[in-house]
Amino acid sequence: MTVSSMGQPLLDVRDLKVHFPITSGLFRKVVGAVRAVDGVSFALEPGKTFGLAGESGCGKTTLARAILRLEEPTDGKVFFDGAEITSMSDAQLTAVRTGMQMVFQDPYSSLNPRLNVERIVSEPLRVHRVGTERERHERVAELLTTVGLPPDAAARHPHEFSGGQRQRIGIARALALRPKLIVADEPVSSLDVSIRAQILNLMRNLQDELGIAYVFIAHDLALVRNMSHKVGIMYLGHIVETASSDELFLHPAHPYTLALLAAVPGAETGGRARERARRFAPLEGDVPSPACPPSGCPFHPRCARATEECREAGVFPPRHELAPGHLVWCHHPLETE
Amino acid sequence: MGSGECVLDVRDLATYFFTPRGCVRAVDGVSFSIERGVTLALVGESGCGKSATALSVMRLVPSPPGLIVRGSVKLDGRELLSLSEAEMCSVRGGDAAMIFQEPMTSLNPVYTVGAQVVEAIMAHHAADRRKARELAIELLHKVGIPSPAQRASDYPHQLSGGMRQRVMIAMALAARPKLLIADEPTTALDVTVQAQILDLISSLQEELNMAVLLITHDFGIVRQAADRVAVMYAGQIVEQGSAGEVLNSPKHPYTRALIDSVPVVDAPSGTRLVSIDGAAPNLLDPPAGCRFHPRCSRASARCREFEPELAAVGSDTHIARCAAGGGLRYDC
Repeated sequence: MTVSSMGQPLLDVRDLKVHFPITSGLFRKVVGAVRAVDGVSFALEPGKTFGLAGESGCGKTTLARAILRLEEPTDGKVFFDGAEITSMSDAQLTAVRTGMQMVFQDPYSSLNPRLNVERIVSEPLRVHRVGTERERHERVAELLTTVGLPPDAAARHPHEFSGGQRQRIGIARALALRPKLIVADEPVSSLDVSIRAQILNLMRNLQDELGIAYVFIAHDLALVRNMSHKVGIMYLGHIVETASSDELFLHPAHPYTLALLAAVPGAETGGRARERARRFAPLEGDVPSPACPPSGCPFHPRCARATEECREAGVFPPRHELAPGHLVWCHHPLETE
Repeated sequence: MGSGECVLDVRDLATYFFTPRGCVRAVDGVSFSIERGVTLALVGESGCGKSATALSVMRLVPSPPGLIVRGSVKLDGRELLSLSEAEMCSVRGGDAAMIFQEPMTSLNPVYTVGAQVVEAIMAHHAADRRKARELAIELLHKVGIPSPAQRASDYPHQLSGGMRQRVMIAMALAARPKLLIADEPTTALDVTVQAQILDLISSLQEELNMAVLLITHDFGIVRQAADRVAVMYAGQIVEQGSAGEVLNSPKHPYTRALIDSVPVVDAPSGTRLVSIDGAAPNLLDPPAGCRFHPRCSRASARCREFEPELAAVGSDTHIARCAAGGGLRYDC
């Protein structure tokens, strides 16, 4: 019996950090670090979706890449299916990676224009030496049907497809090895509005049928709410609030979550949380640079509720558990009556 | 809404692109008008002709291959399509200004932002350079750039995306235009910065009593910022009306599907989205009859043959191009 079948998380991220060194001068002396991901923890159950939302530069994409060890973590641990992948050798990692795949944002640059669809979709199978040539051919046909492409697509090249169809090819490739986890980094943000729903519905059907878990990254809060079971709001490399999707959007407690919600244009029909969010002062300024994040709470320079203790150097705000699974890192969380 | 004084009046505008593969009818008989102080949102997916419409109004369509083949564009009663290029130059940035989606590529990277705002001012006022610089700093202050005197000597790459868009807006407003065309002004920006820019545009609109043509694909923005809405599909306007009419009781199946396909932040997790099958048609060879019929769940034999015209649906300000939705021309 595997660990995940005992109600354990499929993915368990613990205090993960990814720092990029800033070098200077002739000898590339390290003079600082961009703290892209600075201590992130979350867990994801099999067949569920964890949504990550935040402004650009908050570290969403780096976190996604670090989960798959496409980016080497500076510190912290990632457990996948009970095994710690952060300390694995490359050979061990290759074996584990069959269970975790990625779908990229840009369906134009993430498909090799010189290869036909059959080669693109079967590439993971060939890399991991799965099946015979004939079996791989059959698997490609099966995958194309799964993602809603005609079987004759196999012989064609990426340029012959529209953006939405290309993203289907990218999803077929990610499904080839029957993964348990797919990390989807802004999978629909480069697609047209009417095509987005097609891809989102496809992803949800795949989850229902194949039990795939997703880490779903998007800057669009409505998308994240719609697609996720659990949501984490990221700011400057930290998750500042996490809860089940509806709980987070109905009872936001971190001032940043509230400010993000208030900024979503045109939701006239908002619930009470939105009503409160609109009365809340709109967010001013831009996200600070993760190379020199503000001391104390990273959000304090933009926060209307900030006090002396939020500014205190070296002290990250304490964690409050407002409801089971609803965590917020803030000195002054909003009451969620 | 505004005082009823019409600033921009576009009638039967058609812009075709003559490519080696054939004639692309990007804008095919588009009519709308915007009054002083009013925002009209032009909504649609990429390739539907919304940007080509805006470029045609400004006469910025690259030619060749593009050509405005017919129609009329009147700004404050003056026909723009018959102006000489020199006359048109004084209209652009003068009575009509435009801001674009990507503020990085729209600014010149080798000049300071101050110099670029000064250039915009001097193009339309015979001010001396020092006076123009003072005016530029005042404008940068007005669009919410902190310490504008220092920022004026920054280069575009030293500013964030939101600040660059503010600089673009400052340049656009240099000559107090009557019409502002904003082509996806916040698409490249984060949601918090987007809210700031939309607020800025609407407060400046109020102050200058401008007509705004807002091009977007985001119904949230439409709901927040627009007084009236025109929905474009395959080069044509398929529905037009007040924001409330179009958003709350859409009459064209495309408008309805487009609204239902977008998740809203107030809907619970797991809400099923309506998807529109297929993709937008190739404008080299648009479908016969109603251009939306291949993707429409309500299409009948009639829709495949006859091209419906815009007809009043419900109120006299609300029009739609649909045989079924309008129910006036071809009842089915």
